[in-house]
Parts: sequence; structure tokens; C-alpha cells
Amino acid sequence: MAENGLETITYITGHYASRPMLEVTSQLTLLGWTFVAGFLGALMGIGGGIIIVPALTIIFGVPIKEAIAISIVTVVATSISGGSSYVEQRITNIRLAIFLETSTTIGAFIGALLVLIVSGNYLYVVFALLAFYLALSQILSVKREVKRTESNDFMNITQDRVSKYFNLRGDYFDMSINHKVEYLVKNSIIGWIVSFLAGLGSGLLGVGGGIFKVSVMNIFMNVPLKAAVATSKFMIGVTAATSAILYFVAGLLNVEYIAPAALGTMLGASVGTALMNRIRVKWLKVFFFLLMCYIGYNMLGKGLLLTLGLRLPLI
Amino acid sequence: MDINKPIYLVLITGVIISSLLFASALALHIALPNMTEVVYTLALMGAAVLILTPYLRVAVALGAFLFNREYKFAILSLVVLLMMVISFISGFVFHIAP
Repeated sequence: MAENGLETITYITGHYASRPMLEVTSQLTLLGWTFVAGFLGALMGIGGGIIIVPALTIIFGVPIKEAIAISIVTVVATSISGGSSYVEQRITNIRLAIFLETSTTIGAFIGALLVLIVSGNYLYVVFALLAFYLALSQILSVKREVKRTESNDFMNITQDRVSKYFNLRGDYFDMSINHKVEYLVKNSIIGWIVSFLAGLGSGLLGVGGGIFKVSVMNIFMNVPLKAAVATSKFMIGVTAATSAILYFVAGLLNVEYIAPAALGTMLGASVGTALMNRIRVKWLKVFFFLLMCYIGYNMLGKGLLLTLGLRLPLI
Repeated sequence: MDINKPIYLVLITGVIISSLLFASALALHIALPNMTEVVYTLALMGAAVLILTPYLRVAVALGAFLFNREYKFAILSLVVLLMMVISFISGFVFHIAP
């Protein structure tokens, strides 16, 4: 048994070692790029694949499939590095995360199975519309969220039965305004269903893990944006690890990129998480609006190209 | 028990071990460019630690909730852990691995 395991490891390393090694300068450039991705990902509670995948394919000429595999490993890296910092700062809502993880993992599993039967192309359009809707909700809720954060008004709601049953609530200390923000979670069922869809999307298309999770919690479930960012950061590692392990075992990870990419995102994430709680909610919301618009446009572009053959201008 | 603590410990341990492995892979690559096999092995070990950390994190959450007698959340953690294992196994069976 042990010998067998050793053989597998030698096989995997041998398989990987046959590739040419990346130059030191390229490795350091990659480290820099992934640092930026990790930093932004930490501020937004997302994986950062939208930065890493284009950087790898355009700058380093990595084939798209390998780029996605590397990006998934960096999502795990950013999730445990950023996630640990937010847990330490007590912004993460671990119970809410586990509640929503049940639906994202089921969604991701079904999505990954559906890939074998149906094409997910039309789903790009659905997710693009969802992204635009959430972008709009983000920008329209800036004033209200700032006011509620400052006056600690997230407790003034009635919880639904499910949220009450699990006693979903939380609090964190907001360093930009120097006081504690408490909140009750509502609409748990809607949140659970949208998380299921987010998981389905990440299983089918490999995108949209974090972005939709943050918005779901913030817009539908009455979770303050910073708590949503921290909780999403914590959650994305679970689905990413499930995909990453498949790439790993199948020998599809391009090892020469892994060390600089993972290290870069982890460093970027630690800087980002140290900063996030000091930024005013207003600016985080505006960043989010811009990010969601960009992602929505890109998904719409992909969806229209794949379903109707229409080409949108690149931005 | 405050569940933040054990979960933080798992995450930070994963971060430290994997980043040490990645950093030594990078340093070795810069210092001794011919040791490709060792560099790859270190990087692969780093990736393995990284990928297994979220699995361990869910398992530790399960243990911590059981210890606290928060059975609702223990069941939810168990569901998540089972889904992670099922996805992994069916990845082999259905060759989902892209």
C-alpha cells in the first residue's frame, strides 16, 4: 500500500518534472500580479480569478485550462490566508458560512455533473443579468447602508422562521467608524437558494464563486457588507478546494506557476485583510458596483458570443 | 468553546506550512536552478497542504460544534464535509476532472 502511494507520488512529480522550468524573473512578475489579485480579492471577499486567469493567459501565454487550474489553487490560498485574518478579527460569521456552504457545495456538485450533459452557455446570460441587478442594488443601497452602519440599525428587522431556528446573527467591530455593528440575518431560504445557484454557476462555468455570495448576504440577508466580505472569503475555499483536489490528483496543476502564484495571493490577501476594516463602507460599495458591472458585461459578452455568435466590444 | 479559535488555528497553520513550502521552493529555484525535482516536490507539497486545509477546517468545525453541543450546526458541517468527499470521489468516477 505504502509502496503504491510512493509510486503515485513519483509518477506525479516525474510527470510534472518533465516540463521546462519558468525563469526567475517571470516567477517574480507572476508573484506581483497575484499579489494584486490577492489584495483586491481580500477587500471584496472574492477569489480573484478574474485577474489571475487573464494575467496568466495574456502575459504568460498559459493555456486557458491550465490557467483556470492555477487560479482555483490561488482561490484556496486567498481563502485560507484572508479567511484566517478575518476570523482572527472576528468579522467572519462562521455559523452563517456553514449554513450557506451546504447549498453552495450541493450546487457546485450538481453543476459539475450537469457539465457532462448540458452546455452552460446560456447560463452566462442569466448570471450577467443577475450581476447587473446586484450592481444596481449595490449602488442604490450606499446611503442606506452607511446610515444603518453608523446608527447600528441592522437589528431592527423581523427574522424569518429558518433564520430564527438557526439563530443566525452576528456582530463585528467596524474600525472605520469605531464602533460595534450588530445584525440579525433574514431571508435565509432565499439566501440558501441563491447560494445554490452561485454554486451551480461555479460548478458549470467555474466563475462567480465569491461575487454572488457577498451580494446575496448583503442585499438579501441583511448582513453588513464587511461581514459579508469576510464570510464569503471564508466560504470560497471549500468549493475551490473540492475542484482543486481533482486537478491535483489528475496531474493537471502546472507546478512551476503554483509556488509564486499561491505565495503572491497569500501575501496580497494578508495586506488586503489588514486594510479592509479601515475602509469606509461607502467606498467598498462603489468598488463593488464597478466590479459587478465589469463582470456582468464580460459574462454577457461571453454568453452572447457562445449562444448567438454576437461579439460585444472589449473593455 | 469559542469556535473561532480552533478554526483560526487550522487556517493559520495551513497558511504558514504551505507558504513556507512555497517560499523554500522559490528560494531553492533561485539559488540552485538545477534542482528542478526538489523544487517541484516542495511546490506540490505546498499545494497539497493548501488544498487539504479547507477539508480539515470543515472537519474541525464539525468537532467543535459537537463539543459545544450545537447539533444543528454539527449536522450542517457534516453535510458540507460529505458533499466535499462525494464531489471528490465522483470526480474520479465520472471523470469530471477537466
